[in-house]
Amino acid sequence: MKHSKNIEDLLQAGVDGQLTEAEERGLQERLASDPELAAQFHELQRQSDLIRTAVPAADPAHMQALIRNAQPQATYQPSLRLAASVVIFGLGIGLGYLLPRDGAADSQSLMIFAQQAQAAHALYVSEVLHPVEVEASERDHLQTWLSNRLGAAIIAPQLGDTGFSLIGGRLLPAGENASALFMYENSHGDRLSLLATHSGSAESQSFRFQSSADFLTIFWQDGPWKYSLVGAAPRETMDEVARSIHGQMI
Amino acid sequence: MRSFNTQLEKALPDLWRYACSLTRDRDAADDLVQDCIERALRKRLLWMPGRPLKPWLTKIMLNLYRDRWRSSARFPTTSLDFIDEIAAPNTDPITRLELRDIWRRLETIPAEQSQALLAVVVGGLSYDEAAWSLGIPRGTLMSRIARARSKLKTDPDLSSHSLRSVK
Repeated sequence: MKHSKNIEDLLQAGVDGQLTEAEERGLQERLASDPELAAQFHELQRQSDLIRTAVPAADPAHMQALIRNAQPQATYQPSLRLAASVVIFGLGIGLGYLLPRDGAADSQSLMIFAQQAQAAHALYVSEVLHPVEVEASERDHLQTWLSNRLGAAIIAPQLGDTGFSLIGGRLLPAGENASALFMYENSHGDRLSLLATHSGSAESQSFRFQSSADFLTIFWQDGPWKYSLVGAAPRETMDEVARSIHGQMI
Repeated sequence: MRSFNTQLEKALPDLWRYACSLTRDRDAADDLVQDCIERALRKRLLWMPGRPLKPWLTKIMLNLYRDRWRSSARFPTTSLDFIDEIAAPNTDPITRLELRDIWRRLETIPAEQSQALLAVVVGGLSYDEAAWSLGIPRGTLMSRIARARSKLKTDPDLSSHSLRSVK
């Protein structure tokens, strides 16, 4: 006898333990009064049991080991990349707070700036509602506001050639200075951040790269300006974007 | 954070067993689950605290599995060792034959059906959770599971035949 779709669904949900108490009672009543249905139900149940029986039990100690091996602080080989990224992330935040007054060597401070940029990008990249404080539609206001806060004129670079367009920007601390963060997005929803800050030093430093598990950071210094570009795009793309910015910011 | 770790520990046994049922190989399941945890830790920011973690982990794992394992065809055939290993100690020969039969059939049905069935039966996910993990509506999930089940049904005559021939 062929049962209706509803009964089939009920049987299946019963076997899979997906019924409410009331539905379960209803099912049991039907099974009690319909031996054929009951046989069908038990056959399904047996099939599920057979499938389950064949899969090994998970050993709790082994599960713990899997978690441990995947942890960032583990020194085993597969997690090294992750460990590195977490350390860098932590350093970026830690140094950002701990050493704000230390006008250390330019190279080191540029490094720290790059780490701050990465931490900022990691924080805001997944933000759906408020990735930026001021949206690109208010570009003029954004540029004026950030220039005032930074104490030097800054423009948001145009990256149209590379497929990225400006979402907007926000003001962030960078050591004891203020910094401007511009966020860009392409049609795939990939996001890039450019963090820029203006400080006393007039040294220039060429492009440097830093990659973590999630992001690639390209940073450089152009006289008093420090820049960090952070994103998850392939290296060639990032390189192209960085060169385009470099060209526009001089 | 605490909630993330607690939920991770709680979800792991089912997740690992689901991985086993997909890959049919303990080592492969270990690799898959460990990659899944690593990715989950990296993407922790994207997980909404307070939401159930298990479906999210399952989704990550399925993506990894489809990307790597499935395409690389690393485990092309039913590993019968798998059945022997698991079911060896205390299963009677008839049940073992049935087990082999079911797992052999599982391999011949469309992956989308077996993944749905195993997510619920082995992975211990509710219909809603499994549907979310697989990125399909609940109704689709239920019909895939139903189709998988009807294809796995052992024909009583057939199994008695094979029993006789074995004897």
